Amino acid sequence: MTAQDSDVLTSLNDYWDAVVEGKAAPSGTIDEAAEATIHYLHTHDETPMPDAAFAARLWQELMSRSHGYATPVGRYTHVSHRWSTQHFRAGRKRLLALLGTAAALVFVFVGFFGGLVPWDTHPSIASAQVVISRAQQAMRAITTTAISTAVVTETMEAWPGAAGLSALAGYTGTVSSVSTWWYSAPFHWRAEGHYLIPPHSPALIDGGTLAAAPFAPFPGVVVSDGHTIRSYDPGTNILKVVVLPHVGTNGIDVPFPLNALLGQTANSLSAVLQQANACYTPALHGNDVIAGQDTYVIDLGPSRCLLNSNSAYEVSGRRVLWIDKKTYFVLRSDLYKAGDPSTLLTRTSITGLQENPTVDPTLFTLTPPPGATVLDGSQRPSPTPTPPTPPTLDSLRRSLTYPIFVPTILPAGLSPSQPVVGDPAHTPGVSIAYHSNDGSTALLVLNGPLGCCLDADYRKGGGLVHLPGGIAAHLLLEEPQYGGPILWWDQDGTYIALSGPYLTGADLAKIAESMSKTADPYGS
Amino acid sequence: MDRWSYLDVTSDDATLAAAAKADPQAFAPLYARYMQPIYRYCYRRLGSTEAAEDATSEVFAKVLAGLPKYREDCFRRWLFTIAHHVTVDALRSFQLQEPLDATPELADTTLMVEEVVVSAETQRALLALLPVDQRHVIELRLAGLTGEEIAGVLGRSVGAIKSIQFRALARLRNTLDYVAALTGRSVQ
Repeated sequence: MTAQDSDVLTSLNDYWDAVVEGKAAPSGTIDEAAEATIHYLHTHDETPMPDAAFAARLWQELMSRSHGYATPVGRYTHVSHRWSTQHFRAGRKRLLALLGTAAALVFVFVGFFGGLVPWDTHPSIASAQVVISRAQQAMRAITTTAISTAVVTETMEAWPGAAGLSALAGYTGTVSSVSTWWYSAPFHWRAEGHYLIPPHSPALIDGGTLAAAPFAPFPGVVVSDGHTIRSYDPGTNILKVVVLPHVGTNGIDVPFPLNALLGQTANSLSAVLQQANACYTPALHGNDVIAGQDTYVIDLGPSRCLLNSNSAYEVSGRRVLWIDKKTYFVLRSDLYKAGDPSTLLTRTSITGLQENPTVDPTLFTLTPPPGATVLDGSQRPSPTPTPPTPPTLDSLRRSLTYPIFVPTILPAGLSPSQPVVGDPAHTPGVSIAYHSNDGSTALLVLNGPLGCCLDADYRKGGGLVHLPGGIAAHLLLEEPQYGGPILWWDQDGTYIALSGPYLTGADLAKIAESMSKTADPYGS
Repeated sequence: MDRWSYLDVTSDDATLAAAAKADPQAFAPLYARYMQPIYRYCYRRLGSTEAAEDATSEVFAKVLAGLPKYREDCFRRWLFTIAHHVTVDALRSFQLQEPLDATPELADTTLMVEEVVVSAETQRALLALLPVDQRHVIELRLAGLTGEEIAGVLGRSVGAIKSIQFRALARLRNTLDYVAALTGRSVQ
């Protein structure tokens, strides 16, 4: 090769390096045909993007199997294999057949000596699925004739410090609560709850942190009289009344509030049962005795499913269920930290269960003590309501006790809508949607009072992102269909959250750095 | 130090890899950064969503498993080396790996060239015409790697990579010209 040839090769290499690194490619250093071909390759790359659901599922799977790098490297090899069961390769069939035979033999041996009757001759996965199937049937059965009345006592234990969030760093100990449910078919029920072991940090309660957690007891008494739900909080002496939701509005085929019975209050356990085969890999791990009842222990492992709510990631960790061998009710549910299958976060146990007892009907009425404030949401609104005047950002900034921040750097082509003030009882704060040219919401900016929102829930820490000024922001990775990633933080007395279905964490961080409490996004 | 303080989406690969060695959760920014390129690289090599997802899963599982012993000076090169080996293994297991002497001449590949013209995945059909070593280089170029990084991934010298990519470009150029002559239209 001549020196000239070498120069040509090097020039071509340097040119292509510049292209792939996004730098200005040195023009005129290579011949036009080569230059055109390189650009043809990069501009005609039709390789598809990965499916977002796959990306999220893979991340959860990786994290659920990577705790502390504690186990051998080889454990990872089955991750993709399990997912590839829908498309087995011919070359793997012989190996899989051998593994399957070996697994069956091991199971028969373990089943025989472990007393896993009557399914000791079947693979554990099949046995677990049978148990799950019967538990699903049992859950549906309580909606029909199986149970007309019930009294259920449910104990919940939680370890907030195990959540691993900086806001709870150093928190030790257990929080425990007990709830009792009285039920009369079809829509009468009463729930009362109180702490057995309250949090030793009052700030956890006062700041609302535990109030939003799944293990917190009911704040006093909640009663359904068949038409309305009345909840009384003795701490505030407030009675709230709302209309009883219609059957099926809870998204599953069990009438509300039946899904809240028999351990179902624990993180939508009924939904977990419904999704057990689709979203988990249930495995039978033996037998145990809970509250005097023989149970099957089913280890579901972590969830593989999409994030379907703000809480979904936090409750997507490994689950273990104890299912009654006679009734197939769930008598205990353990929830482990997402991405950490060895750290227990909450345990919910049925500690008392009476089927078809006599229940005093007066339990399903609730009269507040004198002086209580009644917030009655069951009343129809005025037939001629006065249309409210939409607030302006300027007026909100003058009237609210916390500053309202808006971004000063935005992706191109976005325009802000007018601010919308949320319902203080449910969605406090001021939101401003930024729309793209096609009218879709590309960015949502929410300002609210401290402690209003995700900052009141210790489970919503997500990943830390450092913003200028020593501000610690938190990044939650949500799917586009659920609004996209959320970056939230507290600043100058305001809770701020940014989200966008197609924005990345880096995009949100860049926007976050530009937030101003005086800027006018409308240019008025 | 708070474990999450490492998780800064703007940090460079080396910083993030060092953090992830101690805490798997700190791998999140690297996953966000490379999940898509790795998936697309695997898809480009294997040609189907299922195979690409399987391979991507395996790549990141191997990466996480190997991070505690990670000593490389270039994370991206290490990552794509793993991805390359995973896809080679996958191709072998599918028995779709090209024979090593498969260096088709243009005159023998008229039908394949026509496939370039009619294929919905023109580029994939185009790359299929290249000898294996040239295709490997182009696939890594399309994944965004530099010549030096490609040399590291493929275990070749930088000089060898320069020659291979030069020949690959010449062959692609000829093929594109041939396609243009066949169809009477430019494919650029």
